[in-house]
Amino acid sequence: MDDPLDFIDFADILEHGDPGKWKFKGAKAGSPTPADSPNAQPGTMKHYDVDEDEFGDEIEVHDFRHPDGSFGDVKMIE
Amino acid sequence: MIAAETRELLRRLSSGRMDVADTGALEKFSANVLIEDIKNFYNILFQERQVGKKHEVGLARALKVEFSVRRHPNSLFAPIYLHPVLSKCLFVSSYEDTISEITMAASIHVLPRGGEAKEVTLKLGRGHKLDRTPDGWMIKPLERRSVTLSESLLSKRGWKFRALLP
Repeated sequence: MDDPLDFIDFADILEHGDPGKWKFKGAKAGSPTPADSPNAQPGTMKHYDVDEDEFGDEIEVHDFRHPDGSFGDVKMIE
Repeated sequence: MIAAETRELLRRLSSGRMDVADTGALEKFSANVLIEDIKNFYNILFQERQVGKKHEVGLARALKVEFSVRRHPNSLFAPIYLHPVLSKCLFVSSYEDTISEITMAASIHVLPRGGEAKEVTLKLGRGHKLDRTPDGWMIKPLERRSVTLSESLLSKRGWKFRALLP
């Protein structure tokens, strides 16, 4: 299984530092949940994690995990 | 997407003013075609990486060189260093040829720290980031920020150090 932090956009690294130094604070309540978009591949799950960035700010990492273990649309949310 | 449309899209993104029609166009076009189009006027490719189904590129319109002075303790002499500045930068990310993100930044100053740690400080200029989310496209401003990263992280993320040479 890949690490969702490997998929963080570089612009977000410039704003929030090295994802390898972010502190995982836990999954959000209700995560994971099945992806309900009409385009979602059956079995895809949405994950919402809470992290602390390199500067101590709380951020969220949202991602879609497909049944084959691949990731789609990993996003960092402030 | 033709070059004129791409230019207009980037002009609006740089001003932070995007509307539904602009983002609707992004849904329709191939990320690979858009990136090839953008490369016609952002012709410095300083970052590229494929990870899983994600493709990322970092492009700039110009590479400048600035002076910096670093004082050394125990020395009256202050050496002068040259460091690269990527000007008018653009990051584009896609998953399976669908655009996921476009970020514009006025500049990125690249300041090698030297020493054993092999770190680089990147100073980001102002800009905007346009993200495709499950709730639609969202635009957010980027503030000036400095971050120090290891050379190994930059290599892993596909930074092309040779592109930073004048």
